[in-house]
Order: sequence, then C-alpha cells, then structure tokens
Amino acid sequence: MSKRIITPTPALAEYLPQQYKDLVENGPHGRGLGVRDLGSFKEIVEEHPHCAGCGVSLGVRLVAAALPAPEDTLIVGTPGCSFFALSQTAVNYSNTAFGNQNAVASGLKRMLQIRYPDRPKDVVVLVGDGGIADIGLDMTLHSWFRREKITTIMVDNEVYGNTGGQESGMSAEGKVLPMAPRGKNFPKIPVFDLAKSSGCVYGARVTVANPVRLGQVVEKAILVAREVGPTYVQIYTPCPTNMRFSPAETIDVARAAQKGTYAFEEFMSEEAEALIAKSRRE
Amino acid sequence: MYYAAKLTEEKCTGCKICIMSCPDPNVIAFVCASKKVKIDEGRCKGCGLCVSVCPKDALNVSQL
Amino acid sequence: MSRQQIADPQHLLFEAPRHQSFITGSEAVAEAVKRANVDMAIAYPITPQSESMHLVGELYEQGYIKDFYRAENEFAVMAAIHGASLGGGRVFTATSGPGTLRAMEMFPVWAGARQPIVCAFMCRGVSLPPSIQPENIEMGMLLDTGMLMLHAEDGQDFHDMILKGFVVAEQPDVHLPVGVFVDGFFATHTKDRVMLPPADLKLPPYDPRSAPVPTFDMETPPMRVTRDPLLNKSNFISGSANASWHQEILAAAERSRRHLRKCLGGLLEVQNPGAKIMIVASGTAVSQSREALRLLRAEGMEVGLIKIKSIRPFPEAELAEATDHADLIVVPEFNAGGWLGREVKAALDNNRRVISAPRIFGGMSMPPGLIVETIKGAMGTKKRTAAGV
Repeated sequence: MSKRIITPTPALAEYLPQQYKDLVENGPHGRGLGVRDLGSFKEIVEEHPHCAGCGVSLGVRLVAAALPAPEDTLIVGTPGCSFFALSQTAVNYSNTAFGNQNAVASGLKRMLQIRYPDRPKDVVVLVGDGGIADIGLDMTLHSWFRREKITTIMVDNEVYGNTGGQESGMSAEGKVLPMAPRGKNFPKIPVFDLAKSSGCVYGARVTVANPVRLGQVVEKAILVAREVGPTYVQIYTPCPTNMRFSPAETIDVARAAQKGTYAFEEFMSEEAEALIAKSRRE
Repeated sequence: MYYAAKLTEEKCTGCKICIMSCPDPNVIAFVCASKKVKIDEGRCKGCGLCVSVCPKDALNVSQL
Repeated sequence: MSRQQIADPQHLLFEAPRHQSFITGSEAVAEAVKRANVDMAIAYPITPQSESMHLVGELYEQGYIKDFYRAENEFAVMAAIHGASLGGGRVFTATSGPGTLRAMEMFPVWAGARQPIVCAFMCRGVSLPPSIQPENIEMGMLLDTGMLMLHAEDGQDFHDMILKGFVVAEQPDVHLPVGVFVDGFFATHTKDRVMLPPADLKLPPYDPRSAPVPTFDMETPPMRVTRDPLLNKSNFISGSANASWHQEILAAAERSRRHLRKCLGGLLEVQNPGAKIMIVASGTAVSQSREALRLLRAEGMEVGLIKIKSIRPFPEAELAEATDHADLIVVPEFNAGGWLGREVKAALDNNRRVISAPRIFGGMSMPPGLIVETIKGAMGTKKRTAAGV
C-alpha cells in the first residue's frame, strides 16, 4: 500500500483517534525501520491486554518492529495468547480456526501473487507453540513440503497460555502442568529440526533476551520467503503467569535458556545465503 | 495500587535496551534532543523488565 | 484453451443459446467452473467428489484457472480456500460426506468472514458403518453454518446452480458462501442431458470492491482490521459487536431471497398445484417423486410435487402457500435423520398433515413404489382416523 491510502482527508482527520494520526505522521511505513529504531517511531502494535512481563507480547512487538515492509505485510494467526496484541496491530490480521494458519496463509499468499504479480506481499504466520507443534503441525509441515513462500514464526511460551497453562508439545520434558499431572513424559517436539528437513530454506532459533538478533533473523526470514521459499523462526517467549515466576524475570529466564534448549541456531540454503548477502550489499 | 517504571535521568546513557525489552508498545520513547529515554507512566504495566536489563541501574519500579 | 469473452451474467445464464450435451454430473461441475472465471481452486480427493475435481485440475492445466493444488486434508482445503478468498479472488472447491465433516469448523468461518466461496457437496453417507453410498445427512448438519444451501436434482441443476451460486454469493448485499449440494453417484456418476451455454463465454471477474468487508490485501483501509469474525473478549461491547455481526449474516441470507428468486425462478417449484396430496422433496428424491406421480396417476390419483431448490434460505412462506389446501404432505428423503421433514414441519401450520417418510439411507436408490406405498398407507390411516377406528 502507499502511504496515500491511510492518509485521511483533512475533514476526516480531526475525528480520528490520536493513535491513528500518529501512525500516519510517524509510523514505520516505507521507512525501512527496525528493532533498533524502537522508541523513535509510532509502532504498528497498539496498547494490548497481555499480562505484565509477557514474553509473547514482547516477541510480537519485536517481530512487528522488524517487518521489512509493514505496509505490505499480512499476518495470519491462530487462537491463543498470540492474538491479543495482533488483533489491534495496524496490519491485516486473520485469525480463524485453531491450527489452520499455514493453510490459510498458503491460499492467501497464492491469491495475492495472482492479484499483485509484480509487488511482493509478505504473508507471515505468527502464532504460538500449540498452534504450530500440536493442533496445526500437519498443515505447518505441508506448507513447507509444498514450498509455500511464507514465513512461519512461533512464539514459544512452552504452554497453552490462554486456556490456563496446560502442557503443550513444546513444554519441557518433566514439567508438571495442568493436563500433565505427573509431568510431561516426552521431550519438546523438534519443530526446528523438522523445518530443516521439510523444505524451509531459512530457519533461526532465538529468544526475546536478544532483541537485535531477533529483529535481524525475522527480517532475513521474510526477505528470503519473498524470493526463495518457506522460512521459519522460533522465538522463546517465556510466560511468567503460567510458569509462575516474577514478571520482571522474563528476560532472565530467556537468557538462561540461551545456554541450553534455546542456544542460537541458524540454517539457510545456498540460494537463501546468496540472497541475504545481496540484500546486505544493497 | 498502580506501579510504573521511573527513570533516574542522570544515570541514563540512551542505550535503548530498555525500549527493546518492554512488552508494551510506545511506553518508553527515545528523546533525540537529550539522547535519553522517557517513560509514559500511564501506559506502563510495571512489570520491571526494563529494570532487569538496564546496565546503568537507571530504572526502578515504584508506586505511582 | 480457447479465448473466452466476458459476458454479462444475465446473458450467460439466461440468454446465450445453449447446446445439448450428454455428460455426467461431475463433468457438469467442470463445465460450470470453466465458465465461472475462477481464480483458484484447491482439492482433496474423496469419493464421489474426486472426478469433478480431476476435471477442475485439468481446467487449471488448460489455463482456465490461475492456481490449483491438491491439499493435505479437507480442513486444510477449506482453510486455504478461505485464505485465498480473503485475498480478494474467486475460488471453488468441493467435497463429500466425511470430508464435509472433517472440514466442518471452517464453514461458519466462511459465513462469518462474509466470503463468497462456492463449494460443491457431492453428498454421501458418513461412518459408521462405513459407507461411500449416496445419502445427504451432511446437509442436515450444515443447516446452521450461515452458508446458503442449494440442492440440485440433476446434472443440469448442478451446472446451473454452481454458476448462479457465484452470482448470488457475490451480490454486495449478500456476500456469503454458497454450498451447492447433490446426492452423490445418482447425480455425479450418471450421464444426463445438460444444456450448456457457449464455452467461449465466462462470468466477469470477481470485484473485491463488492465486498461489504475490507479485502485482505493491505490495499483496502482501514489497515488495522481483524478480517474475520470478531474476537470475543468477554465484555459487553465485544459481545454486542459479535452478536450484531452475527445478525447481519442472517440478514444477508434473508436478502439473498430476492436474488435467488431471480436466478432460480423461485426457491421452490410446484407441479400439480391443486392436488390435495403434495409431495415435498429436494435433490434426486424429486426425480423419484416425479416417477411416483406417474404411477399414481395411472391409478387415477392426482398428487402434486413441490421441489425445494433453496434449503437455506428456506422458502417457508412459499411452502405454506403451496400446501395450504393440502390434506396430506409426504416428505421422502435420502437420509436417516429426516432433516427436510423437520424443516417442512417447522414451516407449516397444522403439521400433523406432514409424513416425514420414506427415508432411504445406507446406499439404496429410492423406489418410487415406496413413495406410493407411503402415500397410500397414510391415506388409509387418515380414513380410519376420520371413521373413528
């Protein structure tokens, strides 16, 4: 979209909320801003009802700031905590049945390619661990097998946050949670490894404790998906409410995980690597 | 009782790590003129993540 | 692929000279899609739908459709079709029985998101016991999903209702999904005479600006929009917003009546309107009822027939008027649940006149003789009741 589309006529402008006017005057559209520029522009994410110290909302906010083209990005979500901030973010956001996100994104991306063959429209799936690893695993994998040009981002809080903290496939082995009264008896589902073997041409595993790197990998993933094929980013976004630690400790918990299950890892195909090198030179 | 982050301006070096660690949008802004951050206390949820990452101890959470 | 000209829907549907073909119902589906200017179709195989979607895939290969793929299951098909429709193009898919049930969660989403998706349902039995045989119980399960539901009797209906389905679905004051249903095998796998409009004509392309909701393409303001049924946040305002959104879906279905009357020539159609005994049927049960009428006439009995073409919206007023004079109303149908019988009873005063039988299921065809026996049996009961026996 061009900035013209969201710019109100003067007669209408006076009736619009301040947040909208700020977005038009100082939003990120068409300016090539990123995570490092946070605090200096009006963000597309708006005030949201996530808990204090929520890792998921921090992950969503950083992803939104890292979008290379927020003016031409469409986000497909799924029910769960991940939708609370996204439903009031200034992008088209679709959220329908639980787990169907990569199927919806496949159809959407293809239709936008038909309608806008010369303009990239970035279709980004941004959902929680339950949506990807459990209820939507088949549709996630199949979108990768089919080489759909979409970016899939998991905000992993290792739990079903919105329904009351039940075990998910991404919960740590041994963790005692609702619906896992004796502790989870199998390891985290290796979605990151599955991405590698299922057709993703770029993947990265990061946490919210390293926001600059998070921004970099999200930008790379979206640029690669535009040109080459499916990409995947898995972000650790700890949940103080359900994991019962202080909201002030979310970053510390994420940083600790970087020494273990969430050690930084990145993979890319040769074609993706060449594209990333080319975009750096530009 | 409402809690919010507060800044000790003299200690702030404008590194912006607090801005990038806040889960809520448009709460901590960067002021170009002073090269320091500014907190919108009305939007702050008082979680304290900014406090946990500030390398200069320039932030604390206290009652409004 | 021959070059197709864009035709006014009125011309393509009603005025252009048609030529006779002798084709299966599955082929009739492909003939409709060929003329419907569809942007994208997605398929997953299931009996008895498969053949029609093979042919739709061939239309993609021939250049009539811009994108097509075989998806991983029916829920994924209906989700991806939803995504494609959100993106502002015309889409088509089809499924059957268990596939319908697998995909169930997406149908209210289509209606809730006001998507003008046209989906064909080649109805069949659902387990258990396992059955691939004709039956339309799935229609009874879809009555309240918010989609419009048309029930085709034969290949001609199937072809016409798919083309007309797009026209009605895309009206700005409707903009809802349309399901076009047939009884599998009977209508899909048998050849019949079908009058086809010229193959070098097609509908005008879908215009996303006709949608009453913003298109999902980051080109249509407002940009901050959850382009799906509103998220209910358990407070009064979002509850009210959700409820009024829902009411508008129901109102849009009501508004479709005007367009359906114009396109289908009425939501129902009546044969022998004056008869005191009326059969009310939809789908292939209509054809079998026509045969029953012939058998009864041979015995000197005049029976009328009401063919219901639109199940949603349901023609309550027209049905009440057409049966006002009737003493006996018999509703034969192809399922064990008797959903059409319930619909008819709910629409009429003095519904003790309604006999919801015969119900055929498990894979048999419906013997016209059984309809005759049901009518005679009911008349006998009525005589005995009148005589106080």
